[in-house]
Amino acid sequence: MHAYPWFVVAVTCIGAFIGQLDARIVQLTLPTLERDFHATLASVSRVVIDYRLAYASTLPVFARLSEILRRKWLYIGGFAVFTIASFLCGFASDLEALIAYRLLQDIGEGCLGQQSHNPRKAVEPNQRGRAMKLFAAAQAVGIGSGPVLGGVLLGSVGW
Amino acid sequence: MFWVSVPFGLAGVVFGWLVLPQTIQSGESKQFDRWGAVLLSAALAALVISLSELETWQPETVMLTCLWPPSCCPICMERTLTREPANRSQALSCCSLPGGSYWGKRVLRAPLRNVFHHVVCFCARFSSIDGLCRPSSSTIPIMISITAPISGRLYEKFGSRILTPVGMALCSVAIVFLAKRQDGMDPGSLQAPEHLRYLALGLASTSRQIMQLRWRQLLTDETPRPEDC
Repeated sequence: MHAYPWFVVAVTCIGAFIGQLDARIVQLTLPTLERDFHATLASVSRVVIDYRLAYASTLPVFARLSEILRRKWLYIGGFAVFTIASFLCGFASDLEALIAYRLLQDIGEGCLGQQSHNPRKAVEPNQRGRAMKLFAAAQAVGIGSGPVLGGVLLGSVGW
Repeated sequence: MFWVSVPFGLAGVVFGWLVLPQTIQSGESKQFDRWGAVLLSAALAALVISLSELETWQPETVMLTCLWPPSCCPICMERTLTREPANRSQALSCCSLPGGSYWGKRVLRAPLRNVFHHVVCFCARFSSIDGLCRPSSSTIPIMISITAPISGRLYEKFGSRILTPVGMALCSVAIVFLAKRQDGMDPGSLQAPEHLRYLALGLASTSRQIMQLRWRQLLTDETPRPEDC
């Protein structure tokens, strides 16, 4: 058992939070992207769909890789890829580039998603319910705050 | 707007490096099933595409896409049968469902619990007049936010044997609500009244949250519990 189990839980909560936040925050931008890129709604909706696509298709692979490689570095690598891709998304000059960066972002989230069991393993068995509660709450905060934060940022600084 | 994730991501890198423990390498095989990874990723991608394009694609296209995942099964089965028994659990495309395999008992069962929630959300979308309108869809994060903090406690107190049937029952009730038609609508239409859509989505989201801990545990437990068998 780790010396500071609740710090481990907190780190995994960050991963859970940003994954859900980023999935939800973009939904409000679709009409803006449609206008800025002069694209159809079906085209810009790929920004959302391809994000889920990469996550669904890479998650089992990363789950197996986490058993083979060092989980810690795979998890940190996931954070790094996700952060770099998020940064690049802000510079996307066309829709194709934005979709490509979103795919990269979700490959990073795939690395984070395979570690979602970390909170349970980090703490004592009698504390597992509390750890999972915090993890679920972090996800819920991401889900709930995504559209709100997206609306505020879209209205103030744009996408 | 996308940069909002950057500080959180950087915090994750730094704190992850400082805090996360080094995992101990087990003595298990480190063989990676490359073909299994390709097959499974492609099958999952095809599944997501077919679900997301269901509304816009032609029926033939949808049918072809949906046929792709089952078409992988013979290949997976052949690979499973020819693989050494000791290495079967390492195969990503392993289809040996009988005998308590990891994929049969956990990976396939766990998402089935989550599917209930999404079925209701899809039903709500098709049953609304102009797509899933924003006020209705906001019910999902609201209910998840309310239920998430107490779901861990509920799980500890009642266990999955009670919570799973309760969650599934809530989803079933939600589907019944969505099947109600608005007054004056055509008999063949599936346009549920607004308040019932709210109620259905609320029930489905609550159900998702209380079943979530169980399917997460199914995926991560090292040893199956008697109730999994």
